Amino acid sequence: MTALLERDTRPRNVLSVALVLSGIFGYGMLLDAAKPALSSPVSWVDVTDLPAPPIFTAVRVCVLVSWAIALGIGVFAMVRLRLAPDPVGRARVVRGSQVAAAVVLLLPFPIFPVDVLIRNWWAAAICVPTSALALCGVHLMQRYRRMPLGLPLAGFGWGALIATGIAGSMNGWFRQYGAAYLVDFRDVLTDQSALDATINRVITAMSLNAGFFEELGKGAGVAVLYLLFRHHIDNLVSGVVLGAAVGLGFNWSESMLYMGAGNGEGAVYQYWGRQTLGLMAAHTAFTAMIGAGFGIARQLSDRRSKLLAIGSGFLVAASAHFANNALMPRAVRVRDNLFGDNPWLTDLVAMPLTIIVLQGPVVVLYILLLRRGLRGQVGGLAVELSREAQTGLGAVTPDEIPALLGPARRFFVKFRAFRQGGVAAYRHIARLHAAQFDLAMQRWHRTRWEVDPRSQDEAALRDIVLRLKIPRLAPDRPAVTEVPA
Amino acid sequence: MHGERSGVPEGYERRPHVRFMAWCGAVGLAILITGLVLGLALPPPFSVPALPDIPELPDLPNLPSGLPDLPGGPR
Repeated sequence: MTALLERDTRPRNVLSVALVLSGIFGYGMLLDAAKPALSSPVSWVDVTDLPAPPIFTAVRVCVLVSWAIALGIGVFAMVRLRLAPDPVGRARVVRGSQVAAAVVLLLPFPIFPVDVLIRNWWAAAICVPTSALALCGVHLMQRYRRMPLGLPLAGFGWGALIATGIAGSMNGWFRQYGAAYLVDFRDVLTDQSALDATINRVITAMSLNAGFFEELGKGAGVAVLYLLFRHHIDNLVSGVVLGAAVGLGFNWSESMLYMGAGNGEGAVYQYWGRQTLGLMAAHTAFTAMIGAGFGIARQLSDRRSKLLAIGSGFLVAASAHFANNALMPRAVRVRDNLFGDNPWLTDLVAMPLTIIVLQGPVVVLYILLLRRGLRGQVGGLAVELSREAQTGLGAVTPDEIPALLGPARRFFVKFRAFRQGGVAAYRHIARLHAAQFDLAMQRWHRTRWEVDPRSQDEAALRDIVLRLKIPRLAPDRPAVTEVPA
Repeated sequence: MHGERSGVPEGYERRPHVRFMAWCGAVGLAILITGLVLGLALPPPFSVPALPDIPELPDLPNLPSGLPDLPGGPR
């Protein structure tokens, strides 16, 4: 028991992620405190040094309070550790304090998105059906073993509440200190070329800031879910799904922010761009790449390869996000120059083209990765299902394998069960397939030396399958003994 | 651990998709450089005219006298 508690590094790892996120807020605070004084030839230019919006000030105060509380939790835990009589009690104190400190450090971040949600509740409601549909689509990308739906939902929640809060905070900090570092008003006011260069510099830096910190906030969500629920993550496919779910949540929050701007004046345009055309691109695609990195890392043992996979995923996500933000205003300008008089051409031709050019490459990459991941899964499952069938234990029979490996065929089997026995029969067969995949995936991970210690062992998984295969005697439920091919 | 992984059967790739992901990282680096170059070199998406002569706005009228001093004395 003690060993189990001591070995469980999840609370410590989650606390590390919370510390990093709270730390980057501190980094923004530090840059703001150290910003140079505005250099201006005239006094009135100092009006650029405007006070922060109230909500940003509220977040800042709450972050400072969270640091004090987290410190208090640490001190309290140290005192309790001295009083704890046994190793189990001490391990519990450590775990409890780590979890509590992580939660406290993360709590200030949802303030910003919740404020946006309250003000733009109507936009949030409008975006629910499209985002929910997309989340279902993302979940169904797992054509074989699927993680519990709660995980993509948790990812969506992180993206909507925590990641958006971090993004709002770091973009807020940039607005506070950016001009002081990047603008020299002595040149800018009188020299046209210096003014143009300054505009470019500010847009580029602002886009870098957004690309890096927004992806960091979203990637932290993927990391937390990976650390907590690694036993539900099989490979690249699970990673892409989790990343895309976090991205969809972020996109939902950002959609309501932009739809509500200017009293909802551009709501239709924003909805079309963010919840229709770009729903599976933009944030969804960027963070799917981060998820892919974590999904690949799941199957690796050496630290260097893990870092390479996760780092590459983050690099491509942050870079694509940055380039999209930096070049989008220019693309919009070109678009308006060419099609400005015709809104139909602008919205139905030029806007999709802009998204294809700026976000298309990342969409292609994550689809290619997903395809590779699915191929990897079906390759492993084909071998392991055959080996399981060869054992003769009955959890998988040779006749069942073609249906298990073919999603269309599998659906046909479930549909036939539905016709014979209704919803109960359909759900029963679906549960049986899921249990067979759990077993085969566990075998796959064991063969590859990558079993997660928290996953169920093969014997227990086999028992679940066999129990599901026992014929049912109740008259309203059909007897299910095997899944025909 | 790495030694244990040498036991991975022939049919299974030991480091699946790592190479492809590294290529994705290289694509990311290329996108980053392209974005930086284009972002800084292209004409800005909007522009405002510079002011050849900067007007110095007149000072605000003096605040009414007779206000109490701030704590710590007059400033």
